Amino acid sequence: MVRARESIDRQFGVVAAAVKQGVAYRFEFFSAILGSLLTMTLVYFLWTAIYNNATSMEMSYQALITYVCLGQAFSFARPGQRYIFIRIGFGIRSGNVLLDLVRPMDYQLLIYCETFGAYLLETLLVSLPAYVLALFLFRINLPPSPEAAIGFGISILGAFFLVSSIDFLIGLMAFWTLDIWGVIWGLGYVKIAVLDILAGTIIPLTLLPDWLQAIAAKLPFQSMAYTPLAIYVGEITGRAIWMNILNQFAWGVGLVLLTRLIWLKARRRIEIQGG
Amino acid sequence: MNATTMASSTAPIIRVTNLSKTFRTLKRKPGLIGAIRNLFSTDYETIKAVDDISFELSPGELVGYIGPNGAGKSTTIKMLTGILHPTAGEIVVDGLVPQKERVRNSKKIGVIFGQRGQLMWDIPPGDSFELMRKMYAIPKARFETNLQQFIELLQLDEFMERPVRQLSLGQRMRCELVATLLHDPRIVYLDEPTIGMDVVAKERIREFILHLNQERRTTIILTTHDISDIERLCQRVIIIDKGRLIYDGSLAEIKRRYGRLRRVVFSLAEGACPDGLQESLEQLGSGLQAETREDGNVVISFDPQQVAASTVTRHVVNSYAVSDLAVEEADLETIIREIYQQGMER
Repeated sequence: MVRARESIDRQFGVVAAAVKQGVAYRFEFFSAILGSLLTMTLVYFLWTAIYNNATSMEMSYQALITYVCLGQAFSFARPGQRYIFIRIGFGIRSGNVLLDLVRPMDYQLLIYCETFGAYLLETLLVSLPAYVLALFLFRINLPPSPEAAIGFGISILGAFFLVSSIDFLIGLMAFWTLDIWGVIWGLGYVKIAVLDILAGTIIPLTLLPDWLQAIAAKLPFQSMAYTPLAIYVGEITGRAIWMNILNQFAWGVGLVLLTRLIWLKARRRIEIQGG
Repeated sequence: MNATTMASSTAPIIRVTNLSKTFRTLKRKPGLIGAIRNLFSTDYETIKAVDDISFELSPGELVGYIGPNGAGKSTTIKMLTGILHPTAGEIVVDGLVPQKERVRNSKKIGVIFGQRGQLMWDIPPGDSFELMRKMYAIPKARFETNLQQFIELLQLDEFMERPVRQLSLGQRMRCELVATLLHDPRIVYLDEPTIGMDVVAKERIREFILHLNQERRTTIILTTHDISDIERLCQRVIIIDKGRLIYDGSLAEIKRRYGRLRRVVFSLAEGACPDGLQESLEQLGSGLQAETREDGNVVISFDPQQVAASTVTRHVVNSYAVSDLAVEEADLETIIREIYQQGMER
């Protein structure tokens, strides 16, 4: 019992430390909100134009605009996220990872807690303000039902585990590559692109061709954006909400375990940096 | 060598037996073609970073662990902390094998890697201390007393509010020490804690290390390139070179055994080294060497076990007009430098 308490305290401690560190870069939040609003403007006009010229559409105009604007507000491609995999990669390359490895805490857990802290802070200081602004500026919908609102909240949390695993894996690349700013930073951009297309941030998956939808359905990425967003706008309703969340958490557990396996294998390579 | 003579009645807190560590690294070729070939290369080379090292430490000892660059000091420390796995041999730290019980071991130890910072960069050091409180589950009362005491001893209050990045190297190291010690570790590994610091900052760190060892009875392994750190702090030193243990014993013993050379410095009326001095010295015994220093003084170096200082002095004073003289003992720095250079063939 005591050990469980201490372990939870430890995790809270790391989350709190990540939040405190994040707050030190206050200016970044203003630029991130601004950035969010600018991309929202872009997708807003883009989809308005497409909608006006479309003959048929799977989604209503109002749901579509809500979906894409919300996707920009709660994006998993924020600076804090990028900071995490650079932190992992740089730590491994420079050997500073040693300082994390002498702690009475599992390294992977430590990193996930830090990621959570960064994400929590950005949700509060960027996503929520951007969302509230979008309610007024772009007249996006409120969730159609309490179920949709709760489902969205849980689903965003579920997406966190998936995205953190991907960030962790990108960071671990440093074990095999020498080039952090090229390879790892570069993979960060690939991640954003994948999130924009296969996760359905820019284009709701239901609007994609059937074959691409079929592929996306078999990959974990759709759980990172499409699932929470579609729940919010009411594209996914009723029992399907919970089935989707279950699917998402299954992917979450799977990816965390896979990441763990790769980490334990990579961990042995630390020896090379020794000396 | 003579590790056993150092062991006291208490059981050792650290026991290292026949410890070895080999790294296998890819031989990397330079250039663009080389870089491409590196992708497919299987040309490995083995480096013995630590080679069959054994030593023991009693609780409360403060031991200097020194050696030239690349001798294997840091690799040993990394194995002691449980991060690296030995290729062969055994480590027991306070009853635990660090590799097998890394987490339990980590609660008992504190580590400073002088060239790496554990403090969070953009916020005041207090936030890092608070993280350590949670990380090591330090009881609140204990944390407060420790922190208060460290703040006083290291005079941190003048910069506790500033973000770490604005602190000087010395101030930062003082904070690093606090972050490392708040959980009352029984054993502390200090890997170059005074690196890059000015004399005053160094002295402050040394005083604190001494306090830690004497008042708190913390067992300390200190690696450093600054021999004055060793002189000021350690009674016992372990010297390693190319992964091998070449000396384990007291500082005094090093001086006695390896501080062979002693010097007498003369100010002669004639100025430079007179003709015939070297030849006449050789009659007194072997290994005497006379030379003129830049300041014009004549320095005669000799082995005190071969010739007594008085014999040398009498010889010179009787033969030349001496205005001043001084006997100098080889300093530790010189001795250690010679030991490193020779790799200690003796």
